[in-house]
Amino acid sequence: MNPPHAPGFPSVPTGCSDRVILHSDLNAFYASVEQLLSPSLRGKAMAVCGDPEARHGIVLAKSEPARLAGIRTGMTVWQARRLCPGLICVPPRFRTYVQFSELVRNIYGRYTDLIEPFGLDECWLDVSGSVRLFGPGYAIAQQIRRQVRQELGLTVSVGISFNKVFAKLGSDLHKPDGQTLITRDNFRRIVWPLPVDALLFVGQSTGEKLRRIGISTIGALAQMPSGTALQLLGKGGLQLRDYALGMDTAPVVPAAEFPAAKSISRGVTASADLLTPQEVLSVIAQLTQEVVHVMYRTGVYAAGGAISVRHPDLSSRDCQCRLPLSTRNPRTIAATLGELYLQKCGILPVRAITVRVYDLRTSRAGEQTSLFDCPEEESRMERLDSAVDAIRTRFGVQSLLPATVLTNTKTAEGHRCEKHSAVTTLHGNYSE
Amino acid sequence: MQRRIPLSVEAVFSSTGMITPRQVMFRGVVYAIDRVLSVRPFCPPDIAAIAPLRYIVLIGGTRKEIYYEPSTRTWFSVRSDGLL
Repeated sequence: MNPPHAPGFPSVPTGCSDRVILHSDLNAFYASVEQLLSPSLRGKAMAVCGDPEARHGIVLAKSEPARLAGIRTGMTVWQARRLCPGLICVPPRFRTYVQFSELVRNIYGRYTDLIEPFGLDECWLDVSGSVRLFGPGYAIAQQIRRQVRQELGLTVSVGISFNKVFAKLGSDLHKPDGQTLITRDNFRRIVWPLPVDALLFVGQSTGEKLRRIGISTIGALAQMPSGTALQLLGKGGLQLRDYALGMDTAPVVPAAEFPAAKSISRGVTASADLLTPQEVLSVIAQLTQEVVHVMYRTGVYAAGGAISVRHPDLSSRDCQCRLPLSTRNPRTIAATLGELYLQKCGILPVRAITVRVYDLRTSRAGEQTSLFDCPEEESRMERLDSAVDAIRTRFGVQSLLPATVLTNTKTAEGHRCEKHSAVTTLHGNYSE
Repeated sequence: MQRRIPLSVEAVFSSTGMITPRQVMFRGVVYAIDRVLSVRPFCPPDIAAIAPLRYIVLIGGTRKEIYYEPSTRTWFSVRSDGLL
């Protein structure tokens, strides 16, 4: 039987039963965990904040009283304190949040194995195959909410729908500790009046483009002619229009089936501006070491490298280049990116740097090498790098570092190096 | 306001990973556990704990609740007056 639809709009595909998709969102996750583990914080205006001393001082999560005082995630600490002078700021404990995230996913796993994480605090669940065992999606959502509350002391908001986009919208509607069912019969009434930037993948820039032409609600986006959507936003615009019409067909993909990473990056905001090229190159060496560590863990080589630098005025500059050969030699990568920085992005001072490698491949077979390369030396360095990585994996990333990091005191790694009384360099020298 | 009271518990770890408490030592007194009535995950309200298991046990014929927190491997009870 065809579900009803408004004339002039695409009809719903028939002949198959709808999926049952849940989107579960832990309410004020970091703040809730901190309040759970420190009952004295409950009922108070508190926020989990980065360290202002290290220039990471933004609000990561806030409690309900803090939210009512006007504090928003992403606000700087000083702005938050101005809005709420009695705000209690606590530092983040990411390991604990990861632990709770896994515990919550274990609860989800009682109902389905199709769990797609979306950050630490959100997951999509495809329970289409579970309704015969556990009841309709709405009942499963109720059970999940009750179990998370009773077993862990946290609350979730759940959206239940026939696609991922609407399920996510549903979880945003009743917070905290609520659930919303969005069906083919009611999505025009519930979803279409919502502001257009409530739709997944409509960010600030896209939202402004749409509002400029009078598209301020999801319903207006759904009724926009496809030609206009294509002209304004390209193929992405057509996709957003499909989302608004409830035509998202993306499957829930478990984390284990995520496609392989296309790039690996590491970045850092320095605690004080980097003022000299040597400081910048030292940080590039440090970040390259971390990237190479991931490359060894995932068994890849990179054929391209990129750096992104941000200056104190928050302007940024990105540049990239091909690496001489596919490699995971940290010295080669750091030297190439250092040279790239000096030639293309050499403006000082620098506030933050990100190092990225891309064009990842699992093998170097069939690659054209240089006439002047020495395969034996390459092989020897690869064995050395592999041994270094094994030491860092076993004894911690602080156990072995490039010597240049010793001179770097403007990042957390550099600070930790300062505290060590003895550090072994790659060449076996000891320094105090 | 509820308080978390640390407990010393003697327990048996079975080959399948089940943890069965046998006796509780509290303020110098040993209380034998007659029977374990139920075990399930349950976080008592107003208590700081990570995913504890609630054991409902019989001690001296009286129903009591004790908790095991796997992440810290500690046992505790919950009371407002500090008595088990």
